[in-house]
Amino acid sequence: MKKSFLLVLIGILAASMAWGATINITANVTQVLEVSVDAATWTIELNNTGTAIQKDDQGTFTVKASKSNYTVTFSSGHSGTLVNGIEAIPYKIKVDTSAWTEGVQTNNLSSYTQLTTPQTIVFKKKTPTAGKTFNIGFNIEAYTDYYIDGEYTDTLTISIAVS
Amino acid sequence: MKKWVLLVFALSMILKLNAQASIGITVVVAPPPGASITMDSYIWEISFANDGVTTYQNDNQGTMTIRSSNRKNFRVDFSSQNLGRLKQGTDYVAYYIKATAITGGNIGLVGTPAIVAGYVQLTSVQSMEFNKKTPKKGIQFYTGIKIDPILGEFYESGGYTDTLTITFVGL
Repeated sequence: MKKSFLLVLIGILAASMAWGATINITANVTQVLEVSVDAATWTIELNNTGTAIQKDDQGTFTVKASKSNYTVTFSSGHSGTLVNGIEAIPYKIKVDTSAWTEGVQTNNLSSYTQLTTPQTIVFKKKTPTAGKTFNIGFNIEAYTDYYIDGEYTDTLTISIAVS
Repeated sequence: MKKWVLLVFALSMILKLNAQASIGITVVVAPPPGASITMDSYIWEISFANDGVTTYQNDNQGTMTIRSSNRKNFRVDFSSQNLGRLKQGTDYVAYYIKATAITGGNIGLVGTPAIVAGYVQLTSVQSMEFNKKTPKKGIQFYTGIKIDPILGEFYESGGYTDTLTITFVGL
């Protein structure tokens, strides 16, 4: 008797209860980490008069990032010198991030620096999808001795990685 | 008449049990035979472009089958663990759900619920109410999902998750 009563009770409970399905949704949001430059080649005239060269807007680079924490690294193929055979001219670069202070944690290129070792800019905020663009300055300090005339080159590499 | 007798009997037994002693009873409730909500897939994996322009929309993300057994009046509720948002740590991506009837004819759907009229965010439970038993094989709906971009902005990239629960409620 008790058994049949319990079955009836369970039946009543079951009829008033809810049941259904659960779906696990995962959205993989694409990562964007890009750096680009406005010009892949810089041609600079050095008149060999000893006068310094400085151009704060020699070029620009644009960073696009869908991550909040990332680092942009600048490195030189010849440790911050332009080379022509065994001849070398030291140069410095600078990156002006002052227009986006809220997005930058550390800028090790806020003043003119020779890239004897790679230098970094650490960011702490994702960019708009259009990216953020910064000026790159170029500098050769005044000199007292002539440089051997000719063509001097270096390769400046800009890379980006999640911090 | 018989139902009433059974109910009164059941209630009297409950009262009797309560009067005599307290007994801890665990009842595992099974759905009535034949009533169910099933999906063609219980895992949805979505790739979102994250370019600040492109919307993800798949009106046929899943196919839902509802079988009401002998229930004439019932409701299907949609709810989200994160209130209609996919979550990654402290970051969220809003998403929207829509149900589109596949089964034609009179399926007993009452009115046009918001979730049928268009995409809705599950900030609260969204429901579809029915007043007709389903055929034995059930009735089917497509379940769509939509994620809008934030124009000109990236979402923090990575994997976002949520749990969507679809519940059958007998009325």
